[in-house]
Amino acid sequence: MTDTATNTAAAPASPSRWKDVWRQYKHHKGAFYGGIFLLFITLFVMVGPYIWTLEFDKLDIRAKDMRPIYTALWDSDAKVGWNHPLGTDNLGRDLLAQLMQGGRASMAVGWTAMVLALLIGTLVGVLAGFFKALDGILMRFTDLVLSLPILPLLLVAVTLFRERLLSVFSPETGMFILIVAIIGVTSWMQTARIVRGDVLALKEREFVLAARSVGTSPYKIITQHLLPNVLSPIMVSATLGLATAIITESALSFLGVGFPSDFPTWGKLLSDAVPRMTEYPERVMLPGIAISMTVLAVNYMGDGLRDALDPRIRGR
Amino acid sequence: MSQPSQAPAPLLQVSDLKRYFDVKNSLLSGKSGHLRAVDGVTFNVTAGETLGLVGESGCGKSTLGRVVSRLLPATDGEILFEGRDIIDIDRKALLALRADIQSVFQDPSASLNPRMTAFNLIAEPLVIQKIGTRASRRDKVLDLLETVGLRREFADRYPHEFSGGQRQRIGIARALALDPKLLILDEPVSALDVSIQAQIINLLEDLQKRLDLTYLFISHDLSVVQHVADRVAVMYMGQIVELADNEAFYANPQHPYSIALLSALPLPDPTIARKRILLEGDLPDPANLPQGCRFQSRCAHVTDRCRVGPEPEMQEISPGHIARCHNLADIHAPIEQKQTA
Repeated sequence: MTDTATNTAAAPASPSRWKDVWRQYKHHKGAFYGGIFLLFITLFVMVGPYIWTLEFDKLDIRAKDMRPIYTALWDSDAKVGWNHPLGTDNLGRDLLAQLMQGGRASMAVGWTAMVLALLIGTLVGVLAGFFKALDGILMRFTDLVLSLPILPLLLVAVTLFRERLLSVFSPETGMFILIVAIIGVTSWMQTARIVRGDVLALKEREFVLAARSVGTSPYKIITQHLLPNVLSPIMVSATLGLATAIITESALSFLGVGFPSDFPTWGKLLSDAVPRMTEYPERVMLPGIAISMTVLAVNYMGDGLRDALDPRIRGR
Repeated sequence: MSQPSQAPAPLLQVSDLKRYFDVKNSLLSGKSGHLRAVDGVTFNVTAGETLGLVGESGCGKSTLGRVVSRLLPATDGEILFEGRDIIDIDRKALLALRADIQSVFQDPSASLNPRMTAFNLIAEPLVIQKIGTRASRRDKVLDLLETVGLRREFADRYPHEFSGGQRQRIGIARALALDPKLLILDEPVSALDVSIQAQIINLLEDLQKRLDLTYLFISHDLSVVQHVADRVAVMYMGQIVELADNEAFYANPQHPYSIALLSALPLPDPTIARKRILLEGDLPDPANLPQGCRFQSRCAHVTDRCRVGPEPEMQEISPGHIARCHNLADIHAPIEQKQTA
């Protein structure tokens, strides 16, 4: 026990723990490939526009309604060309450039709104679960928000705040803040309910009593003992929240209260293409695939991360 | 019963301690009352001794332990620790008191946070109480691991990687981290296998000698208490019904409840036949106690006086041996263990 080798072995080294987490994460096939895909799609939307330099909003009416290059495989009459590999829309805007630009908006809205919803939901859930006095008020408030019809609320919020935000920010930034805020404050309720339920059960566990018996403050009990143990449900609602946020944004765009009409998002590309989807199915499919693959990748990542962060599973 | 005439003042003095829980009855009747989990408990614990607190489940022994360790507020009564009142104290004093009174809990798989390593679990009290530097805490935790019979290399493991006995050792190390004076052992071995129980009990006895600890040992297992306790207190429905030295209690129990409990104790020798006293009748509703003695519904020696009169008071049978019963003189008979040839 005095030799140094034993001592260093016993040192609670946190770097090795993160190595363990990474090892377990890699072990989860879905999470590993999900992570790679997410990295790929992030690079696609972030770096892509610098490589594929065609302007996403450049109108080229002579090159309108071009089909993707692969259509030539079975339809030799199709209007295709390497200058627009994924085709163009009815105004001649390049679909590949729009997908890149739209991805930026969708990913930014999705992640920010998800994080916002998660923060509000976790805060409300933990407070309601831990402090009995707040439980009634907070959960009835949650029910209230849950029962609000979202779309009318969105329309009202947009008409109320659009002018004010646009006078301060550029149209895109103003709209971004508005959409993120609205999606964030209307989608935290499920997280709050789940977290509250888990906290209610956890705070009766003996380890919370044991923590109190050494004088741990309520704040420390929440951050050290409760939050790490509600990580799994939070992770699951996070991955679902990202999908909901991207889809809600597209619904907003569809109703014409989202981003300006010349500003593409995945959701808007998809909804814009719906009227002519029998003739040009790729305009629905490509943004649709982008949305669902991203959501799937994040779902798998959440799964893997949850397992990797749980010491009981990691040990195996 | 303030009889400690000798020099050492008790480490812990509990007098007339009460802890009631509010009970809401059904929605329709709308009545509400109190559940008297601890109802007027008085006892002393002298420094260095082990007081065994026994009773069946629901008798209030764990609640008593939690009130004494200030994890639950007291409804009424007084707790003096080293002569100072510990009920009406401010947050700072309470934090300091936490270091002096520590608890070991029943189920080590529930009382250890599954997301923390053994190191962090044992270090947590030190961090919370802001004791020592990072390096000195590390040394202390590793020493504590050895003190409770675990290897230093186990520091990085998580609770699920330990066996039940090892987990309880971590629980004990955690309780020892702050160098407490009083340890409240709330059924520390009840969740363990019998073979492991012996190891943990030996560890606790060894630690008591080495670190000069005082134990309040809560258990429902009379044979364990016989082994570890210097004095024994029997609890029934929130009250102490008998309190005596270990030898006096096991040789000569006074209260009919104690007699019945001891008659149920398994004996190592199967050839000895003995009279088992089976308690009949039901436990009274703790939220709605009957008039008179609380044990009347199950007592074999019940008289009218038990049913109508005031509750029996504590009577001293011999110095340090007290019991709460009206009919001690009539019952007075130790358990007869007749040997059959």
